[in-house]
Amino acid sequence: MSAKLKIRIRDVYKAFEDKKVLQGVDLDIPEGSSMVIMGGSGVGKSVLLKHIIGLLKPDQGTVFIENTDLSTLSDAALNDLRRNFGMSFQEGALFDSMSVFENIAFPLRRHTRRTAGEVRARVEECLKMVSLRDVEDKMPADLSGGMKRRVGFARSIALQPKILLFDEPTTGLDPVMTALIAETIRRLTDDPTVTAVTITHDLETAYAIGDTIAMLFRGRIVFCGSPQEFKDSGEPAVVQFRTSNPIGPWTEDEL
Amino acid sequence: MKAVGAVDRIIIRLYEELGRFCIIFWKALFWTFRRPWDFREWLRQMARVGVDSIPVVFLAAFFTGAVIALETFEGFQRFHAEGYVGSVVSLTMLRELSPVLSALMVTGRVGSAYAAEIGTMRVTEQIDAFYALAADPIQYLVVPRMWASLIMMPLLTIMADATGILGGWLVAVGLLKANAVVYEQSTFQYLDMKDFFSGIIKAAVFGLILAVTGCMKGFYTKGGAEGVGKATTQSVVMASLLILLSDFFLTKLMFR
Repeated sequence: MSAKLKIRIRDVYKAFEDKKVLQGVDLDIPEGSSMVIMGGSGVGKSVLLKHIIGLLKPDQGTVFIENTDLSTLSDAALNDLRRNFGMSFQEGALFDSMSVFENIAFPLRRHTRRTAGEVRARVEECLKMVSLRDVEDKMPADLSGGMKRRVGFARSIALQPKILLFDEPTTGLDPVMTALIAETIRRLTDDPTVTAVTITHDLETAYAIGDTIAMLFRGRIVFCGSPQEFKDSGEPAVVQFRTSNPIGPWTEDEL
Repeated sequence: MKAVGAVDRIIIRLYEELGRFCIIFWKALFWTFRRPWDFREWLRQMARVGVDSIPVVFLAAFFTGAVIALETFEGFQRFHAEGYVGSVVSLTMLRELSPVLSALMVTGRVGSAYAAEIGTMRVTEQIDAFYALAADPIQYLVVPRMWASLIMMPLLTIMADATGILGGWLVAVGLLKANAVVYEQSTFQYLDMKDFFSGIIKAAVFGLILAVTGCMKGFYTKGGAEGVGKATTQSVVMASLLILLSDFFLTKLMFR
């Protein structure tokens, strides 16, 4: 396990107006690993994910992709770097002026020289991975929330990127689809060159796909270890989360 | 930031808006000359701004021309100058009212829609998705909208010129029984090509203003559905004000 580090997050702080979201996050994600970030709603998991792909810039601290400090990159260089990324968003974030097919074909048409036939084949392949059929010509507005999420997932993996970022890919899906998406993520990360970071608050999913589980609590990573270590951890925030206890550090502020 | 007073805040806001306007405009200009060009999207946007705005612009210009004829005819009659009504209608329409009114109508129809669309894309993370897919949303969203508006506004204005003059003619000759020959003569007698072109130039500038303002307000939307509503309203208010302000300065520049 002495793989080189793909993503390094060092002492990252981020606040929105007066709301302090990240308060000194440190996280190392080795190449080829599958990291799961857990935490309650609104603790800044998505904010952290957006820092990794440079959609947000830290107020303080640094994000490195391999050995590149994101903050030193020009817009054009950052754009080039992002071709290595695939990111799926919480609500799918499908372009609603484009059909499902055009959504998934968008990165393929833009960044590759595939023929129309190859693009179509790849789109169908991606849709098959998320178990969707005959939806190519539908518009996003005609899809259910869960379907949008799966299409968004399919779009994010279309280019076979080396770094995958999934923002709650299974939230709101039925158990079968949840298992299917988890299985797909697992399979994608079997490739030793693919690094994945998944946000979820579903324990089953986390155990299924994570090589490492990290817990974000009050703007910091309070736990980072294997699923087994997560199950054995005595860290109060982890224990409360794991045991679904309404009383504990997560709810302290409100009590 | 604590020491910032109310006046300071207003000034900061003003410069912030100005800065954002310039950033969006500059980036759109930059991306105009870069591949890939999506001409289908350009045409789609041009149809939206141009073709779909024909009815409202037609009605607005027609009745404006008509009311100018109505007002001035009654007034000019008092000193027996009703022969000049045609000139008044054509001059005010071509130089001033066609471009301004068309721009205000299109701001309400299209500028607000730009803000709402792009604002919705912002709050549903579609803008982030563009960046995440290594594509620049300015290129896909702002460039076609800005050029569509800039190209179609002059065309709409030419139509408004014609319908305004038609409206005035119908009222003066049809309703108020003015002498048709005298009216038609006076319509074109004092008209210069410069009057026509100044209106066209204004229309192009207004088209740019309303599109960039709409896109800018959408692009910087914050805070869910409420934010989209705010962005839409603000885009209309801001674009309308900018159009009226720039109208004065453009006139001042072109007719010293």
